[in-house]
Amino acid sequence: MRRRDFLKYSSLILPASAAIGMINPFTKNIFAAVKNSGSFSLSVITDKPSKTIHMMEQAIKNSEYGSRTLDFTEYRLKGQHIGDIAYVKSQKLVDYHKGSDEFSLLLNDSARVLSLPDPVDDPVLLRFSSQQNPTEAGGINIFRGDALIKQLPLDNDRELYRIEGLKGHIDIRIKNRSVKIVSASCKHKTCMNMDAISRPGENLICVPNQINISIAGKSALGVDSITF
Amino acid sequence: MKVTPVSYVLIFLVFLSAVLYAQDDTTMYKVSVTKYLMGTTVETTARSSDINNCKKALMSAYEEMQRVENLLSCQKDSSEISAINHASGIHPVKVSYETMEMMRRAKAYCGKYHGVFDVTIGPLSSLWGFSEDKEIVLPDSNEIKKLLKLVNYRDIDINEKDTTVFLKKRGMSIDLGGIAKGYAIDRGSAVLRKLGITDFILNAGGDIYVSGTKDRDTEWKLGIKHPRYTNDLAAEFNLKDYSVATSGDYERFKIINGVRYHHILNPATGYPGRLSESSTILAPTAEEADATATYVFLLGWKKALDDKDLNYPMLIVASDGSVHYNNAFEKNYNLEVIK
Repeated sequence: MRRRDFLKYSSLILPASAAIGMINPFTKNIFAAVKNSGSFSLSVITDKPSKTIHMMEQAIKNSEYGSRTLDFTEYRLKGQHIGDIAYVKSQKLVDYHKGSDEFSLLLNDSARVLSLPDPVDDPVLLRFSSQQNPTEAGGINIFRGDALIKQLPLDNDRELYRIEGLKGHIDIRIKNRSVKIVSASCKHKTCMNMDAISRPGENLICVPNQINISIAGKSALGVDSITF
Repeated sequence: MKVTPVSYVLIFLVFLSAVLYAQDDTTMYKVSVTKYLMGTTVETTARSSDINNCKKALMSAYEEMQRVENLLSCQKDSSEISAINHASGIHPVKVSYETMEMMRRAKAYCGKYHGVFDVTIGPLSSLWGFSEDKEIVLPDSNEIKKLLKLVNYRDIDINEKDTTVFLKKRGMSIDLGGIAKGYAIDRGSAVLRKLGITDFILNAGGDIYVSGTKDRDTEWKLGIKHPRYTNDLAAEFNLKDYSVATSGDYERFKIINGVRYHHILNPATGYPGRLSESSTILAPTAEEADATATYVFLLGWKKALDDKDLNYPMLIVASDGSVHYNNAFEKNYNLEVIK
């Protein structure tokens, strides 16, 4: 993942801008501040996950984000990427290099110890976040196994996008901000029965190919897990 | 200064407050991990103050579930269940104590559920092929009739002394699809608890064990997928230290000539069950919930809700889309039917 893309997706600026753009510009900032008050995310690309997790835990513990429950996820990334830290507060990317608050200083120290930013091979993407409220739909995340292999924007229509899996491939169509599996190389084609997805948290799964296509963001369904 | 009993109480209360304050001060993390096992996605969310320790526990739980899959999956040629199937009608197969116990419980469920749930459905499962990579076509009705003769749980011979299992008729085969996933969830959950993780949700393809709470004051909230609007929920409810499983006709199916053919087969007819779109059961273990959900799906809502011996909280979406549930579910789990 290029550093610019990483920072862009980490900040969730794209979906927020899409939503905010529909309302009066005068109220933009107020809307953004109220809608996302208290939201926080910290994303790190690193090839030293255990050490990084421990350092981020210590930084968070001593910050305004401690003393609460945060979400944590970890994905593998294939190939060479720029290892870095992205700190987002109320959906705005914070330049922790320039920040003088304690959390920014701790992140700055962590980045120095971890030699970030720096190119790393086959790293992991660690994400700590406090998003409590449902969000607008973000981009499309495509996973193969436990690796995040591609991120696509939801608002760029594509007639056909092929995703190679473990045993074959599937083709998806992106149209009117929704995603649908339109063909699969396997014989039973069960995944083609799934409804198109468009809302945050929804996903399409092809089990034989271990492909999971999900819409980024916090689901509005408001449950912790779903039985089906 | 004289230390009175009242002082002791005050000192104790100050100490207690300090402990509670310290607990409040702890940063907790909901660690989420997804893996592909047992032909489905297995998602676990666990609450812990130590991410690295939690990740290790989750990996151990996944290894345990993988071990169970390797032992019991009829899709894996090297499993003990496949060995039993390959030797059907020929000779008994020596198995591990764990597999024998699994088969003993499976046979007991088949008896309890009067053969409406029957793990010897294997030959028909293979014929339809919903669990395999083959094109789904409508099978020949004569072939279905022929294979139905091989479906009878009473023809499973379990010898506890020798720890052997024998399928009496050549061509018989066991398919633990309606129960083994539940057992794997129970085993994975046991590993997590043993390693000190007490607050978690383990969801394997929709069958779930819920342990502890979401945070100190809030129970985990679960949703039941709507069988026809599959991006929406039919209902939601709270759960703690309990299991839930759903059997539905919308995960693995094919529409042929306008008719939906799905993977939950009726052992009496050899065709997919027609009385339900989905059935959701709450039970102490995921294994019990898994087997019972399949049974209730095939039994239909009227008989299931009338059966006094079927003492489980349950919600069934009937084949006409109507939603039915019992008081046990509604009253004790904050059930809210959405649509």
